[in-house]
Amino acid sequence: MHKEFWILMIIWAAVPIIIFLNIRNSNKRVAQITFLFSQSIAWLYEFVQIKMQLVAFPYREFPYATKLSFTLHYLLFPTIGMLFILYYPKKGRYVKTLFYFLLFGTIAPTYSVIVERTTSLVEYHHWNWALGFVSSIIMLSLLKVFVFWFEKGMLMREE
Amino acid sequence: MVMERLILAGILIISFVIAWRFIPAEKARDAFILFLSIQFFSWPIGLFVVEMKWIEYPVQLFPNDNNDYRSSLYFEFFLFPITAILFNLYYPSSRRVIPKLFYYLLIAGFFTCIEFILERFTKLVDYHKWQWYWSYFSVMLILYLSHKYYKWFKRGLR
Repeated sequence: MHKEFWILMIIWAAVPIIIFLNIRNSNKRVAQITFLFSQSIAWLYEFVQIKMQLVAFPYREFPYATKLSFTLHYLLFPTIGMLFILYYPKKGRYVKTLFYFLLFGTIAPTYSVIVERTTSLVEYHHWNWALGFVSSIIMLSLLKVFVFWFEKGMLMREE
Repeated sequence: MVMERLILAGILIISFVIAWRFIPAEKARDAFILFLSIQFFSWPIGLFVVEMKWIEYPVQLFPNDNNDYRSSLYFEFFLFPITAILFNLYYPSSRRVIPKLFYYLLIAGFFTCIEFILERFTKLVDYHKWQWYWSYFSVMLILYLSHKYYKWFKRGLR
């Protein structure tokens, strides 16, 4: 089997474990809505990338149906987004929050660069780590705005 | 070709109008729960049926959409979620089993009917191995799953 196959298999095996280990009864609704909304953001992001031919995904799950990478937007980004929201420092000060953003912003582009160098899961045409980092920060910000708005409404109803 | 594209543009416009006029602002979060849960199912299923070449969508809104994404964006992300959101917001939860069942059959039938007509008379959808009753069944199943999920989500909130 190709190494690309094993990387995807590891992601599919690891994600349920990560979700299971991090979801509590108290946060399961927020975690799930975060996961689902991340899927949307990540799908749009990938769609734009493909439309503008910035990247390509030569080895992918549905080679005929789409040029998008399914695992990336369906599992990988959402998992990062979910962890980002679950451990977001709500009471932290400005510096701490900034550091937290920078830390999570590096995960996706770093993974992507490594995978681009070593496998054919991703191929960069007009893309690099810095662009990945900036778009990663933008997506996390969008996610934070949405989830906090969503949470506010849920709490209001709980009172 | 022109007619097909007009229909797709029409679906987009109608979806936005419905989302804007028929979903009350205080239900925005509910609509999001439903929309996102529908996507969770329709992404893998929609891609899978196209990958297997059971269904084809020869004409999309933009000429080279099919290079990038052969699944139907407008059915899966607009028409169907909107149908499902209205389905849930106006669900007859106080009624008994028979009216509820009838409601399921009706809404899923409405959606399947639209798809069937479009497959017959336009190039928007082409069934290869696919049959209309597969649509009917899968639409009903996804409506059911999204409804269950929505109810579960709301249950913990009050």
